[in-house]
Amino acid sequence: MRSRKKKRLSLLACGMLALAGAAALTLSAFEDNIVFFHGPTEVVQKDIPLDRRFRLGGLVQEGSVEKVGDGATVTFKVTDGANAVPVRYRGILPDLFREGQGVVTHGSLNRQGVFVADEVLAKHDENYMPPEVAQALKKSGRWEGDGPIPGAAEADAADTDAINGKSGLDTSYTN
Amino acid sequence: MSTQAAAPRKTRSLHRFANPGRFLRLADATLPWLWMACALALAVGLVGAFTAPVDYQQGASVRIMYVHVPAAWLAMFTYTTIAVASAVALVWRHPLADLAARAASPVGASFTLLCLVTGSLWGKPMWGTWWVWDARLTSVLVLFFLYLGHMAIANAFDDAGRGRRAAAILALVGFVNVPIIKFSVDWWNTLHQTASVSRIGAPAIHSSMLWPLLTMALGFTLFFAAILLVRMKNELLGQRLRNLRAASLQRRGEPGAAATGQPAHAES
Amino acid sequence: MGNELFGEYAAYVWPSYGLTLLVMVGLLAVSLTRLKRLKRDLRALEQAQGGRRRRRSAADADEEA
Repeated sequence: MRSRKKKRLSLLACGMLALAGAAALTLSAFEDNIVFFHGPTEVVQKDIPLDRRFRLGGLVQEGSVEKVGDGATVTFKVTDGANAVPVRYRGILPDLFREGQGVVTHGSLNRQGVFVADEVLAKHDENYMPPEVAQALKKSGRWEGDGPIPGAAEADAADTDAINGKSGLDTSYTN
Repeated sequence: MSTQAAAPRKTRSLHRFANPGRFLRLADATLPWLWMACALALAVGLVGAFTAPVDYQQGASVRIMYVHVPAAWLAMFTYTTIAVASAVALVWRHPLADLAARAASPVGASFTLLCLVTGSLWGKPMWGTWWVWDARLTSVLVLFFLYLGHMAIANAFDDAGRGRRAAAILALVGFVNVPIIKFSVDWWNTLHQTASVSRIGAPAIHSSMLWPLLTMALGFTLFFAAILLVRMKNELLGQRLRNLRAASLQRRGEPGAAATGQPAHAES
Repeated sequence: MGNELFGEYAAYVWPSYGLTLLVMVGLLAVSLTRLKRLKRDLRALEQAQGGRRRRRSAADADEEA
């Protein structure tokens, strides 16, 4: 009796191992199709055909957002720190869209090397905190406003008090 | 009973809760406490969720997190429970393991659906879209279909024992999807952000938002434990009812009626 | 009151909590209703059989379950 159980157990273990291996191989083979967007460096280095539609993701470069013409069209640069790609978009921007924010845009490159997007999605990071704490962190110079926050969870009341006055539900987070 | 008494010591300890009478007594003794703890955790968590500060970027929409994230955790936790129960059922033929897997499946499907819908309601105002086919969202949708498949297969066979075995194998094969869901945001570019709580180092959530989230997660988990016990009771009582009916039909001299609803636990 | 709590996102936050309630209450209702019905049916069947027979068949069912 015991040996039959052992046999079933080892059969199960082998099966799961084989399955995990097959899944890993399949996923790595299809990696190009699984990634949701490509970064600016990839786009600059690879020779992408002009009419190919793809998603470009990265941070909105500080100071690059401009409204052009009728006011409904906006241009900005998507950067990953090393390279930047100019983007033109006409339409409604999500609430989280702002300079320094992560975005994913969908469209294609034109002859001038501008990425003409018909969709802009905002990507937010994994940091959650009250506005007062974010302000205090920025003020004390421990955080630049993008990228990971050093010890967001430990940012304590002392930081919060430093910005003088508990404004409560500050509404400055929406623009 | 007599076969169990004769079994080796180790087997007996594993099958200690196999006796349905003992399981029912244990469940009845535990359930009131589970429901109370669950109600308490959910009440405290809800107060915390509604009074926690808003997020510096996402504003009040961050309050969706307090139901979305526990639903997502439970969706994966339930599937893991089903996979473990299926392995125990296949290898050790433990009679309660099959029941647990069957009882848990609709619960997991419900919370996966809740996770998908609340995620959609959060994604529209923040990301700017209800849905994208990125690796995280797609793999959670696959999880939902795995639950549906598991429920369908478990009930599809005339021979209940074969249905259970097929469902257990599907549950184990589908388990590869769980680590894919968990690590999709680290392995590939996704629109969904990476983990905030279960990451190496400190959580990236301020403590004023973290405690309501953890309390809600505890409440959801207690709810799952309680509802699972109730549903396992249902499975057991349903089995007993079928056996009684089959026995009474047999006594009246109707052959063939006794063949249904009797799981074969020949060994142990 | 909704606007004070959730600001401009009330239309997204309230449905999220509403659905959560619906899922939990729904699961609870379905499971408890089934439990109640099963208990009633079992009691009826055991009463109908009665006596020595009931004891024996109940023990049989326990053994098999």
